[in-house]
Amino acid sequence: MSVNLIFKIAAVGILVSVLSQVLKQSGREETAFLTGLAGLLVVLFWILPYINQLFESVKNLFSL
Amino acid sequence: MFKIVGLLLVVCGCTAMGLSAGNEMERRIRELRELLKLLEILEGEIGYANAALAEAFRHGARRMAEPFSGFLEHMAEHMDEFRGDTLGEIFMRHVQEDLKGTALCRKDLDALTGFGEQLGYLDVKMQLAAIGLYKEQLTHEYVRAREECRKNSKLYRCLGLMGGLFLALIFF
Repeated sequence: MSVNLIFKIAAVGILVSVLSQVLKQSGREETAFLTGLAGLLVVLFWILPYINQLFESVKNLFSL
Repeated sequence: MFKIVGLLLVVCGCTAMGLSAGNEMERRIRELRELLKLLEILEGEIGYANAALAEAFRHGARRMAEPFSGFLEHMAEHMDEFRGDTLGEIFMRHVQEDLKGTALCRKDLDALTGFGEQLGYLDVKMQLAAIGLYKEQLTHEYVRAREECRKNSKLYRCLGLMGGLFLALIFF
């Protein structure tokens, strides 16, 4: 896992936060919510392989 | 290197889309204002100069900028040909041909076509009443569009830039 991923997640977090605020100010709360959800899904998509790797490692460690 | 150039292009493209959407709203407001000016001119030509419709359109075309001057001029020419088309049909045809490249939305063009159908009905008094009614509707629409533009134009520009950065991050 490279450090770049952490920077990317941080950048997505900042962007989504700014975008949500701008949309809420314009009275579009639903769009702001969907933007937050989209950001969350993108980040989950990036870290899913590592979570899978973690569970595999735990399984192998305890020979399950 | 190429990756960075590609990402820059994505960001620039999305920002341009946002800017374009914002500018389109502002263009629509300018064109609605031009339409109101057109109605004032028609009202003057019909009410005070007692001009026939074709003549009123021709005089109006000289006072308006494109694309409305072309629209009025083509309508005057079409009316002078006496092909047997009603004013509503002439209006509909030229609204679709001459005003399709404008920033006016479907609703605005339909309202203008509807006005054309009312305009050629009965006498001068009815024509002036039709112009007055359409002018009132258009004024409401203009005020609403200006309010919407004030709220949304900056939002679209911001969204364009943020969307571009978001896509660039995903593809990076």
